[in-house]
Amino acid sequence: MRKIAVVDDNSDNRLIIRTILEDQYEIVEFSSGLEAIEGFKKSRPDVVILDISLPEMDGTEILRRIREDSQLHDLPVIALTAHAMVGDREKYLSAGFNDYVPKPILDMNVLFDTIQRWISE
Amino acid sequence: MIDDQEPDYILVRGMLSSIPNQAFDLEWAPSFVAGLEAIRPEAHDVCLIDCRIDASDGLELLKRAREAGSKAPVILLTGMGDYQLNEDAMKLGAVDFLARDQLTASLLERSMRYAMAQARALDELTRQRDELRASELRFRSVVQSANDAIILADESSRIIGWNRGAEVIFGYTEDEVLGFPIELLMPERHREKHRLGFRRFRMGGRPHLVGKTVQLEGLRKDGSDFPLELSLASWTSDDGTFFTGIIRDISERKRVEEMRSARETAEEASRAKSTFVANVSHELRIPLHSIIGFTNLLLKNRNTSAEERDFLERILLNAKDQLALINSILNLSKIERGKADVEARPVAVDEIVRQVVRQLELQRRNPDVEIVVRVPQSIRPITTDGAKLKQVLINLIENALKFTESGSVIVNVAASPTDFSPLRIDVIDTGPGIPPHQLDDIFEPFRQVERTPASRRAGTGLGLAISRSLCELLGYDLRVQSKEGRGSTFSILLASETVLPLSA
Repeated sequence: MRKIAVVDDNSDNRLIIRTILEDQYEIVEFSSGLEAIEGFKKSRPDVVILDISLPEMDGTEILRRIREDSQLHDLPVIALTAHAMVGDREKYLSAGFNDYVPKPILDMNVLFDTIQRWISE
Repeated sequence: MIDDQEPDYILVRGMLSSIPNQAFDLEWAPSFVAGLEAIRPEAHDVCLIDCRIDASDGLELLKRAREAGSKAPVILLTGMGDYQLNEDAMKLGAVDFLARDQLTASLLERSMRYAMAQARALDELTRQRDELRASELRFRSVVQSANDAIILADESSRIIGWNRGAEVIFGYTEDEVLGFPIELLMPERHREKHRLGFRRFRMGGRPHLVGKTVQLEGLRKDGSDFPLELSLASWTSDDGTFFTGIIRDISERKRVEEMRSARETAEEASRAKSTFVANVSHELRIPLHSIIGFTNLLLKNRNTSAEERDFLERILLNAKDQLALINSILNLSKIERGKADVEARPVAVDEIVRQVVRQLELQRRNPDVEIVVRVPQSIRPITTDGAKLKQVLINLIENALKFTESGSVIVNVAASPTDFSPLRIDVIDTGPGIPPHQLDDIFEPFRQVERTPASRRAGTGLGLAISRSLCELLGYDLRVQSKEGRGSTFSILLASETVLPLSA
């Protein structure tokens, strides 16, 4: 079973994503960036779903550290964020995220499709 | 030598030839008329003129020559008892007087050499004076033509110099201000300070503004005051101490500075607003994410009963409505903030209309209403932000569909018959229309035409406000015409000369 890491300080969100995905994927949860990067090094996930607004270290900074890490730099990272105004998608894609899913998730299939895109590659 | 007596000529010629090295060439002008010719400018180095020539006065000859501009040095040859001539002759520039009967070669030579030396000295003096004049003229031109006011004042603070720049800046002519105290140019509130400073200077203190550039205020002739920049210098000569003030009107600079500062404040406010809007957007979405997320999960659950499913569907619908409302408010706020993200490209209006209609036909809920597109055969592309124009059309056509029970919604594009440039896009419905007293309000946010609750149409009440803001952003006018019970026509005026049809 492929492994999906969910990094979000909001437990509601972690639960939603877990419940949507857990039939098909193994889910690991992290509530902070430092904890997540530690965890990725111990056990590398197939796809990371990363929130942007996190306390202490935000998603963009976590992404930067992932990209600079020799082991983790090529991890597929999907931004899952409530920063969903016009132009935000382009902003996060150009920051180096592999993909972008806005919150709230209206259609669960969008999430499945997005993950599938990065797992098959 | 101008002399009508040949023996005199022979005498003088004899004396000159005895001088070594042939230092002088002598020419003889034996008449008054020939003398006039001989004395003309630059003809000879020295002229010897007899006091009596052709029964005329030698002085008369000299006078005429001087009037004609001759500057030749002249030595007068006089007879006995002619010494009273001396004073008149000197006024006319005669250099020396030699008595004919006392003439010797050495006396003549010395006198002639002296005359030539004096002429040279005079030439040099004239040249220097001309140069000084030219230099002064240049200097005056610089002063006069300067855009800045250049004002001279003496040590009792009276105006003694005033250039054209000063005239332009203060409105006084030179004649109006010369001799007046410099306080004339200061607003009343600054005069006392000036007087104190000046008193201190007269008691031996150094005027504290000298050598500095300061910003002060000036008073024009018309009584208005203005900000100015003053550079003050002073110098002292035998005649006393003088002050030169170079003054520049800085009203324009001040105005630009104020505008820049106002713009920076506005930009600051706009940035703060952007950040605020982005934060609000984010915070409003977070709880909806949980609501929608868990609702979807329950709906997916096989154990959920039909009734629960119905309730969950209602929760979901409301949550989605709320999300649409949040998106609309934030979009409106973003549109109203500025033109930053208009992306203008050449677009085909007819193609945009067709795309929008195709999209909306798929979503159309009422099969009794059809969408009719009327587009001219030839139509020129326009340069605009196609995505925003599309958004306006979607809003207008969705509105029209929402309010039309049966009949049709017509989307009509009008183009100029001469150059095929698109003039107007009309969205015409056969809905209930808008009462005249509400026509002004419908573009305001959250205004829907008031109706009985039963006939209320769903919607955020922001569609038209957003449409109008978008049109403004694109430089278009959005107008409405309506008749109650007959329908409404919304028109996007793409060209300013467009004339609306008389009725829908």
